[in-house]
Amino acid sequence: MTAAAFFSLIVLSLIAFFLVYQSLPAIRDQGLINFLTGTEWDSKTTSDGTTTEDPVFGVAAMLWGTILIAIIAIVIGLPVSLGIAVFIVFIASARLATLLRNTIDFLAAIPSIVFGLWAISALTPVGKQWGEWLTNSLGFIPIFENNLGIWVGTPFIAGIVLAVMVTPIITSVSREVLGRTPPELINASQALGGTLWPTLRYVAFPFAKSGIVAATMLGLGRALGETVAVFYVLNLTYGKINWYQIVSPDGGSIASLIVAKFSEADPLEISALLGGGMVLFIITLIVNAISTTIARSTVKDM
Amino acid sequence: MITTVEAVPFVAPKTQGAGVPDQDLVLASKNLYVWFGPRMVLADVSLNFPKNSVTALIGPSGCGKSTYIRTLNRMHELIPSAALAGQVIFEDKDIYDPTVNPVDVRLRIGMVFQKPNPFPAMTIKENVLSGLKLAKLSNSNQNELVEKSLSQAGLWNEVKDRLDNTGGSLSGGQQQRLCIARSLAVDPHVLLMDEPCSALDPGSTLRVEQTIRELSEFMTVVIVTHNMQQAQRVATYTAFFLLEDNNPGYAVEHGPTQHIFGNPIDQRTSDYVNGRFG
Amino acid sequence: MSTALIENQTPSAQRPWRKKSRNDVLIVVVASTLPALFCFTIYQIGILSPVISGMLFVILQIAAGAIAGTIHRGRRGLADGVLIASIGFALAFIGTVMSSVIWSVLTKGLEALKWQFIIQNNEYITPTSPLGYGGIGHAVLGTLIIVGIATIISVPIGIATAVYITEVRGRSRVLVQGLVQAMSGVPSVVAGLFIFATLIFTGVFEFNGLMGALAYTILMLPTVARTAEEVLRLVPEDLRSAALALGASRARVVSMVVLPTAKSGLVTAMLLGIARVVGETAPLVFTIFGSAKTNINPVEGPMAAIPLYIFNGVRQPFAPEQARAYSAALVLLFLVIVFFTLARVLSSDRRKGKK
Repeated sequence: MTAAAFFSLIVLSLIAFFLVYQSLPAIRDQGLINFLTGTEWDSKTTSDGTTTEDPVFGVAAMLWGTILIAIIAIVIGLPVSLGIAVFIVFIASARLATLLRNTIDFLAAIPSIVFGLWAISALTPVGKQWGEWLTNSLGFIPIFENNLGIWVGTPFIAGIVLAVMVTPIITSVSREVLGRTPPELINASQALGGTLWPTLRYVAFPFAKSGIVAATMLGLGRALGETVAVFYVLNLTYGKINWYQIVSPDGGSIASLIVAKFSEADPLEISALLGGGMVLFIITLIVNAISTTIARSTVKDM
Repeated sequence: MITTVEAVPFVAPKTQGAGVPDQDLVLASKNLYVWFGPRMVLADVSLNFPKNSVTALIGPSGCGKSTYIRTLNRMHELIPSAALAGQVIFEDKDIYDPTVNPVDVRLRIGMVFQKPNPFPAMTIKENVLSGLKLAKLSNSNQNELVEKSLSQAGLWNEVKDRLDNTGGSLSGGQQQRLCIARSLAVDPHVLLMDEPCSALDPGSTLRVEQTIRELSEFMTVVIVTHNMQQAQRVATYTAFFLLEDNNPGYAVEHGPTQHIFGNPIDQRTSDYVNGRFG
Repeated sequence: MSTALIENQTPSAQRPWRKKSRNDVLIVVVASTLPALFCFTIYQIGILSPVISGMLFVILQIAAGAIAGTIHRGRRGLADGVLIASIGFALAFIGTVMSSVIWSVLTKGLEALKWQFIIQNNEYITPTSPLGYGGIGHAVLGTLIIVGIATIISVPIGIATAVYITEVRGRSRVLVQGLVQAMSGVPSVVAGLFIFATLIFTGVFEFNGLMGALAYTILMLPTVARTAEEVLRLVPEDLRSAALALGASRARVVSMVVLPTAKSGLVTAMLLGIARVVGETAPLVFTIFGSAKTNINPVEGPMAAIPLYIFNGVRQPFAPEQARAYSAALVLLFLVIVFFTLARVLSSDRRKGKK
């Protein structure tokens, strides 16, 4: 039983060890700094399998792309999630609340590949249109710039898919922490003339704040690691970092990079891809650790 | 499977006792009936609360005293299955009239709860001022208001040097007086107290009772209590509530405190105040 | 509203606070339709671009909420009006997305969904073959085998972990909880890569079903462990004390009292674990390779699975293959719903039984 309990420790350590170990050849070849800060990703292998130049592997563009779409996902997903959570806890009747809870849980259970198909068939045409409108109407704002005239494969579209996928996660955790606001505090607020918004603002949110932050980090972790839902709808651009142009078709995603390059990679490139996986693993581990720490310190306070 | 039984309507006996003079009333309930879902929990309660008086509501657990005072400032309706019939007249106006904003009612008729519930994320000062924030009221001199409210609640001298500590740092009795100060800050005319001392030790209880007596010099207080001595110590008037079998609760007797405890009219009142049941 | 009460007559229950004057109803109706009508008209006339009209709609609707709130409740109603209008948008967003997801898979997936599609394999099928031939029978089998193996491995370990967390007291419990939490955050792509890096890239194994099952295990274990933990916590402490008082050892208490009491809950944990992984694609890309043939041997040769079939199918630029991918997605969604609903029904039964 003790052995089983520490199975997760063993697995986590093995993941870390093997990803580092197997990515060493590529990192040695490229240098750690170049690997982390480089933006090019090219095995320089021609179609007949001959290599003429040295390959270059840098994850920076993909790494920032991953973070950018995750930020978009949170910016859209967090307000939506909070709105739904507040509705379930403070406004909806018991029956409606149950219905919504089940709907949200079901949304969480839909496989990411299904969201991927939805993203291709339903979201991309709409997202492309929105992107184009955004550039035409608000193109003077730098984040809506687009110099290419193409609005497919943008971080904007990928971000929306991820927003939909993180919403159930953030909603269910926020719903729970908001629901744990002591009823006597809500009573006190109402007896002092507090209506919905003041009660939320001064009583429920201060109480649930760290839980909501933890939920957001949990959603962020999910968004950073998502693969197939993003893979089809994000155009990967190497050689430069797209810092902020969210409706421009220059995206990056480490997970998508790995899937895209994997099948045709030679051993050195596979090693580099494993290095990318390691970077992703470390980032999600940190984000999740922050979330757990915040959640745990809240529990202690109560 | 719901079988509808045509229930024999419960008719509450008329409330006995000397009652309360009809003049100078601040608050009164008239033929008030209260339901939770299909179940009637209070029947035909008509009580008067005169200006600057303390009225104690006594009775065994579950007889609807707490439910009753929650109908007096429209907190009752926040429970999803709640329903009611009858009137609550506050300063000559029915508070359940559709034109009345419940927030205004709750500001004029404050409430203190059984368990001290200061807002944990706020300091003592912020707790006192929380009503202003919650109800979006403005006050130009907040420091003065804090001092005045805390003094009225009898807490000023104990906390004046640590207004920026959190409310949770106070003892239970102090917390309860902080909650009273918080209610006073929005300048209510009536203060409803739902067993305010049941979670406190005897020393703190006496301190809170002292506060209640001081408050009754300028406002009307309605207090639910299980403690007979407390009712005798603080209340000008007392109403005795009772529920029998599965019937709704109702007010058995209402009158000056010394009548209720000295020479009650109803035998059950006498049994209850002499500790023979409940 | 004066009720003249006749002696001895009980009035009926009322909710005066629900009463809305005609004015209030009018305010709500106007506030929730006017902005939409106004912006739609503007959009139709073509004065403003769609994005601007859309944003104008959001702004106007929230402003309308604020105005309605203010008329209804004075200064204090303003923020509530804004809040309720915004929550309306959040609900509309999620409702639209939800129906759009189901609608898109349903409309595109029904085309190729015939009986033969579920039982036949894909061996002689090219991306352009007509829809009447071939199917995903091999992938359904593959998914069942891979998920089955993952279940066999992860359920005992997951339950043992949960038992450790609930029955063993002390600091190590918090550590194990944290580790399980950390493991649940491992991205699925990393789980697949890990199996690839340890077992395939090193030449120990070839691509096969077992590798996929191991990758699934990494994802499934934390879900099983956490759900089982919650379930075991519900076992009353009295039961444990009673058994201990009878002289049973800790281990016997767990095996004879705790686990049997929590049986249906543990089944729920398993079902939720299955629902969590059955649709995972990324771990399979690096582990089972995919196949058009039926292969039921998990340790020999590449295997097919529904998610991987969809993943590869939808990349083909041919209509029949894409239609097949959508149908496979429909089958997958059906499987997820079955496991999800089973878990729900079981857990609600348990809760009812408790009362």
